[in-house]
Amino acid sequence: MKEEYKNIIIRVVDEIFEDFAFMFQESLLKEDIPEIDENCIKTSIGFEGPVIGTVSLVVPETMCKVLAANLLGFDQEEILVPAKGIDALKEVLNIICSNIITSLYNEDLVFEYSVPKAVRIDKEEWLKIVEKPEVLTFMMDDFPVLVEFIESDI
Amino acid sequence: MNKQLPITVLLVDDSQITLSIIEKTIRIAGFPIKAIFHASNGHEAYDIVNTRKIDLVISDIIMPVMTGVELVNKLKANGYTKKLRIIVISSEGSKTKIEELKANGISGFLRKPFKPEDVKELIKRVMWGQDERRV
Repeated sequence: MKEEYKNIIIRVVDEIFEDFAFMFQESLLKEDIPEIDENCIKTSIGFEGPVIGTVSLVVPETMCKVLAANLLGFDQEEILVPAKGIDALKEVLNIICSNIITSLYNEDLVFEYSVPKAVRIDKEEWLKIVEKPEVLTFMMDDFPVLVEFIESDI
Repeated sequence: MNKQLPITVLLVDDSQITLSIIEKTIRIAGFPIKAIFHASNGHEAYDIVNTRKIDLVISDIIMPVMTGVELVNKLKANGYTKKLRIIVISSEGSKTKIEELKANGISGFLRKPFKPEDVKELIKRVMWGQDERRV
């Protein structure tokens, strides 16, 4: 990831989680990311304009429920349907993605976005993603979070 | 709020969470509401608009099957629905695209993430012309 992109992406992720999901982040060095002992959800959105690429958000599965509860103003126990958690994660990614794009590039440019997709991944896959150079690592309240930003010229 | 006729609102978003948040905001705001319908894409929304009397459509842009932009264009091209008030609430940040939507006849635009009070003020302005704060 380009050095000049890092601070912008960290700021956007910080603002969206704080303002929309009421979760507070600290950026984290990759070597400090705690071990996880559960499956994770990876959700991704593709963007296409003068530049094409993908933004992904990867979080432990239990965090999805917290996100849904925070967005809806409910207690976690009231989120009975796991799909609501994944839906919440997709919506947060949707907002993060478009805010990253308008922060990195000119606001007059037009980008098309794909519908967010989510997949469940295991711990091994999580560790592989952590090691990628395009990935930034965060702690969001007590949850480790990965943000992957991939761009390429058309 | 003065005496106003109750309105029927159609919320269009593929995110159930967002539909719930906007519905909750509208209900808490105390607007006179007759009914609130949900659709998960533009196609479903278009069907509802053609079978129910809808006063206000609040739609996202990025959705499967039919996007919000396609929905706006279709509603504005139809003589029966062209005067329908439409608010777009989306994460879209391209000024060019937002201007295009406004030129196509939407009544208001709000960028996600939104604050509940922004939704409330925008609905008030679009439905009852109370321009307390421009969004």
